Amino acid sequence: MDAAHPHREPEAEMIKVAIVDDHPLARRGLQAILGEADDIEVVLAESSPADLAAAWEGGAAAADVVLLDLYHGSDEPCLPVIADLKTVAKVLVVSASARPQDVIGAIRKGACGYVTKLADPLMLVAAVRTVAGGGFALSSQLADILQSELATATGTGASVGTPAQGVLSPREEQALDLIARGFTHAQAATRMGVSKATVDTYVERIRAKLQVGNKAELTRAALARLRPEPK
Amino acid sequence: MSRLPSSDAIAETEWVLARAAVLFRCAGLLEMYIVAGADTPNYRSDAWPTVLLIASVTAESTALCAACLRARHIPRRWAAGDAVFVALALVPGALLATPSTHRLYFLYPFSIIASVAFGVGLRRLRTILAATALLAAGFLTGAILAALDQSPAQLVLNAITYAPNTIVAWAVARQLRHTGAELQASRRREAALAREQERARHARILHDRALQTLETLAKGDWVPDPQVRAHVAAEAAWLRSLIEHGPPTADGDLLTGLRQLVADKARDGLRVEFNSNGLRPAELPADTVTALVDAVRELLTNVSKHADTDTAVLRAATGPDGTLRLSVLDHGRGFDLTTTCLGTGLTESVRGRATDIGAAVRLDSAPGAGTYVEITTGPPEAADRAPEHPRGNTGRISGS
Repeated sequence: MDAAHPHREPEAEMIKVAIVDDHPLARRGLQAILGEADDIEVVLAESSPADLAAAWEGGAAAADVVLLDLYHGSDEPCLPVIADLKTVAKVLVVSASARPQDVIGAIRKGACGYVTKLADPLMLVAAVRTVAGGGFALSSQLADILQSELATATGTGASVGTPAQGVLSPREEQALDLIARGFTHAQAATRMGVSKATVDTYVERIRAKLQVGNKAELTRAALARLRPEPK
Repeated sequence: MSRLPSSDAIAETEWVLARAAVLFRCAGLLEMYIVAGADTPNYRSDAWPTVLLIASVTAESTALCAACLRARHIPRRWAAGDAVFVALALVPGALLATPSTHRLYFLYPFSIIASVAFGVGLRRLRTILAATALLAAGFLTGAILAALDQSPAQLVLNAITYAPNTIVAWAVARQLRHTGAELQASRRREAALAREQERARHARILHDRALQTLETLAKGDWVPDPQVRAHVAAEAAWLRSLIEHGPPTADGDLLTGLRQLVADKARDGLRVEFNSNGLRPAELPADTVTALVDAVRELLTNVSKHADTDTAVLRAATGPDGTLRLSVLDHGRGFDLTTTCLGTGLTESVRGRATDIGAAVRLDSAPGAGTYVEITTGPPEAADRAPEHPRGNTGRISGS
């Protein structure tokens, strides 16, 4: 299955989405919302990451974006799954849990965004597009959670990496603050007097800083690269 | 089970100390009886004053012990009163002894043992030192008045013998109390942690089953009746707020007020994404909270009425300088600031309420670009008005 190759034509193809959620109604709800978008096609809707893997092994269509629910009938969020999934598709976490540790954990594992289930359907669709295009989908809540995480990481992260890591530049902070107020990237760009691409870059750098902030994660990522690629 | 996991450790410590004080007192009485009995020949001919003194000391000790056992701790007034009583009793005690004898009169050994109980019962070092000084003074007064046949060095030595008893007893009791308090604090933390874990578990169960159903039903057109859908949305908002923030805290708390408001608005069909992740708890006057919640309610009502959208983002955040910033953003119709005459909603309700509590309001809108309103309270310099140039983070990038 190599449909998830990175050289997808932006407009020519539909964004293929797989939904992983153990709640049948939530699956249907997500399907319905995404089904209304012209450029999005839900190719799979499974109740667990294992089912998704089984479906793929059985020859199901590959997906560009996996919408992943964090909790599947247990008390632990399925964060390790993200690290596996991100090797074959972009992972957008869709969870109702807005617990900061879940959010940060998911991003550190390599999720490309985190949307709560409460989110506006349009925002969900926008997030899927952003993630499919290689971006980082930030919501209002997520922006504030990241801001406080990065603010505290400044103090504790000194022993990890260089001092520049874990600290936001004033412009990045400004972008994050605007997004936390609910502005879209484009609106934030207008307000900051820069292009949308610049805001996207700020946001991308924020994600990079967050992911690099964790040394254990770096080590794990390095080890993962040495392992043979999972099928 | 949740009843008083709290006071146990401290109460247990006090009970141990009270029993120790009672045991010391009993030992003191016993010693007094033995010394008095063995020393009978040394006392002046008339036995009645001696009997009377022993009887009153016994009575006072019994009352003290009873008070300690009943209260399960050493009542501080009793401890202080006891110190005064023993110090005073030392004077007649000395006067009853024959001047010719080298022996110590019966009340002295009693007072030495009794002094341990002061150390346990009295909490503060300076009170302990005062009680010790009082005892020494009582002893010296009695000894001088009775002209006991002791050298000055002996007298002083006997007088300061109280100090080690009281001070060591005080130090040990203090350590015990400290340990008890620590134990209690850690038990309390454990209980709180267990409760929180339990709550989080329940929240996740509720979330995974009930909330997802409600939110899905509230969103699509699964439920044809808009009123029922709005009701489901309100219940979902309420449940979400319960799951995310726990049960509402005290009335008059800003977060609680805003949460309630978001649920109310969901009932009216406006879906508000409430972001309070950047809000730090702060003590706010009740009228400030009311004014802020009312102002935000007015802003959300305006979104429903004029913006032609059913979603809004409400964000509450505390700036690095302690500034409180509440903002409401919609991606609705927007309006032209220069031509539109602002309704009473915005001018009076919002600005009026904000001004009353010293907050500033900033409005930013353009046709087709949605509306952004921000209420800022706190340090006045943070609340300036620069509509087209919102700053990212007040203080750190000021002037940019």
